[in-house]
Amino acid sequence: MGFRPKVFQWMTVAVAVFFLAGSGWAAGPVRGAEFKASMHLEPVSCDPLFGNGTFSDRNAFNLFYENLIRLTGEGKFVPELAESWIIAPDNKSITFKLRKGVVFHDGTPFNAQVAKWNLDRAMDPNLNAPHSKDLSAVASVDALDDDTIRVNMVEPSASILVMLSYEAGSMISPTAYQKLGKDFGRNPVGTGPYRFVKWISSDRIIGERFADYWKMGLDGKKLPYMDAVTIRFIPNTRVKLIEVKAGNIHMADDIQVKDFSDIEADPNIKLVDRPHGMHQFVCFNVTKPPFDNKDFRLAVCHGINREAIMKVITRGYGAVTPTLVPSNWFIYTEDLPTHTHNPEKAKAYLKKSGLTGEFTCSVIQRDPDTQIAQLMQAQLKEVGINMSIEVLERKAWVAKVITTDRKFHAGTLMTKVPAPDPDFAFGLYFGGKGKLNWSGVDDKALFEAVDKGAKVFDEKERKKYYQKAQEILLQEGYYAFLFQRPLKDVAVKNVQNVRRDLNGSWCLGEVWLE
Amino acid sequence: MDRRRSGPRFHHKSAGVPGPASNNFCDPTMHIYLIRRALQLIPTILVMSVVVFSLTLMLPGDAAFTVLGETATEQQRERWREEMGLNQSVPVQYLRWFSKALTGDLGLSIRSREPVVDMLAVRIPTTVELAVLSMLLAVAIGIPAGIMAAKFRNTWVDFAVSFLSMFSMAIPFFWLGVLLIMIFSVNFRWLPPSGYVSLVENPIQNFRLMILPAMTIGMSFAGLVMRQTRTAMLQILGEDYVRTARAKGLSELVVTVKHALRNAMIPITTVLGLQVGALLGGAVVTETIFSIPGLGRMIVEGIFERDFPVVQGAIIVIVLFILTVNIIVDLTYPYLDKRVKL
Repeated sequence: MGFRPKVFQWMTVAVAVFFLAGSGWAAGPVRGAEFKASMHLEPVSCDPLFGNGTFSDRNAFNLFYENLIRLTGEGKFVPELAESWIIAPDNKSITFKLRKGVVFHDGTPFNAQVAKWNLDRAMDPNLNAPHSKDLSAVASVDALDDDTIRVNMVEPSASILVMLSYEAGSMISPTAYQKLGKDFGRNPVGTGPYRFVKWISSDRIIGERFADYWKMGLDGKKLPYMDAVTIRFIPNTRVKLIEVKAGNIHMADDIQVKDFSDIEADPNIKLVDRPHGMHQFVCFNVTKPPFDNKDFRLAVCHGINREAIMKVITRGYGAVTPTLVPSNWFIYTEDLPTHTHNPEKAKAYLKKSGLTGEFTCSVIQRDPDTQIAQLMQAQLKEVGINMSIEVLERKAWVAKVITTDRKFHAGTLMTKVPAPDPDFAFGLYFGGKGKLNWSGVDDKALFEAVDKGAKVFDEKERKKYYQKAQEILLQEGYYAFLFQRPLKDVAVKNVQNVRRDLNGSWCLGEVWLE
Repeated sequence: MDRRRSGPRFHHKSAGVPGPASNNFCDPTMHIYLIRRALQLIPTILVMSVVVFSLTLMLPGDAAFTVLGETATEQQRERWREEMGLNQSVPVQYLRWFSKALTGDLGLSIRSREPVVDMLAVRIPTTVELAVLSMLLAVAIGIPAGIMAAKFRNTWVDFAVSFLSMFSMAIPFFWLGVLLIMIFSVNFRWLPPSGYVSLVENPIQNFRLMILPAMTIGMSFAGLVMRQTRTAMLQILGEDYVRTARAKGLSELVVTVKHALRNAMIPITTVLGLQVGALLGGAVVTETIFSIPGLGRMIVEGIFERDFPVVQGAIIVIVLFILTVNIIVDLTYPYLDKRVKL
């Protein structure tokens, strides 16, 4: 044909190239620059065994440390420092094939002897580390050759892989530890994507790109994409949100529900979902009056309108579930004797209990515990129960509630669920050896159900045991399970590819800024 | 007659310590005077350390939970308390701390295991910088405003300045800080909302980060300085020697600044010195709002975490600082008014 159609064709090609190139730039990772984040809780120590903020510490730990395996936000175990693993048929040992060519930030090579050293250190009772008990199911660790270790169990444990993917399984440099001793906690050395630079207490922790990191990025070059990461410690939610809006930090954790709509309306920032939410509940001290009386407990449980409290506190973003198990957890079931809001039933139980209906609820001075307590107080008043509220600063609350002499009636609690493993929640709170059994429950049937659930590997079978445990919890009214509220972070729109552990901790080794 | 030459000689009783023979710093009696004032600090620091130690230990809560977390066993907590010496009696704990403090060792932070001295070394300059900037701002605003209010007494200038000073003194620090952040950081994006970079690391960013915190504290104190300046100036502007100075044909600026203001500086300086403690109290709130890792925030976090060595060390530093400032204020009097003898 003539000249004009050819010009039209070239113009079409030019426009196509323009848009394709643009979309290509937007799709691939962008290297360079410093990533700035904020977390509300500063770690006590960067020695992973001595951290005490299980969910938040790992935001910092994941910069410097890695484990044999990682539990992703999707609930899958993926290889990390181990390329593969085999669980023995009797479930009493796991053999890990380690990745070759990995080095620590100080040049120490990672191998089976180092892995064994780390796990032995984690299990050492002389260390008096809070996370030593995480590997209580491990009997011993053998280095079979330079690239293979075998973890031998005391007894089968369904949660062992989870434990190995968290603090107790984090690999530190033995060279650095032997050189620094207790100062190691302020100078972490691991195999992670960032090398430690500086930690200013109450201010920030800084890591720079580790040039010899083993993992490759999408562009075929070594990770990480960012040159450095700074994590600031900003406990005030209002200030951290302002910092994100001002563009001074790229991401912040722990945003309150009341700010969700404001963030959604801002075109420059976005809400980032976390794999878990927070379950709010009330624990009753069942070792002393009035909550040693089952009818009184059930009176309180049925006198609370959980739906109404959830709507007020979460502004509709939350959900009411039978117990602390959310609907996205594999052990979830609705086939349970739920504590429905039933004032008549509550009054009947109160009358049956023979008690006057008075108790004190101890709450930590924080959102949303104080509001929850106020709403409960109003609701329970309608069924003839007088609840007084005692607001305490956190340490004073801990001294009152989390002590073996249990000087309280009831207290508000919250826990992140779904946990990486059901035993993390059920074992801690409701198991026979539960470290967080603040209610003082002593119920053999409950303990048996929880303990069996921890030992079985098959998910269907585990679900049955945890269903049994939930039935007992609800029938006995040991706790008043309230509602689930979502946990979200906030980030500027150009933050890409933030990976997470299942407990919500960031993995910033693969993040980039568009 | 110039009263400044033949007027009475004023003796300033400095905290009950006999004054030196002259105000000359080279005079040996001045050295003895300074040593005596310094020695006076010791019983004050001692009493403060006992009071603070006792009060922090009386707070409910166990530091073992801070360090080991709530899932640690009681055996682990007990063992940790033994390692830290926290299972010993209070007097023994205090004496152990005191004996180390005499050698300059204020112990380790229970929470982070950092030496308290190292933590203070990082935080003291931060808070001092904030305090100095706030004070400079307060003086830069308050003194000229006070002079204007006094010069134009009972006019709209006086009423406007007085109203603003009352307003600034009444505003809570927390509210003012957040308001300044909303205006300058969120709306106009002129200044960063929080954080800290040291002066040595980046002077420009340091200044940008310290403006809003300094304004938060400084504006409140500016109101106080303004009111004190106005009161002092009103008194002095009515004196005979001021009228004489005007009659001699001196310019109003010279009369106001050289003759009147100089004599008004004694009460103003006294107020500034006395307000250092309140200023540091303001720093506690301000450092929290603006996420500045200073002394004030260190104390707050130390109290919440039951980190006794940190609280003890920080409060002793603050007490020392306040007492030292008061000594310096006393030493400035002879320079402001040569009639004053220490």
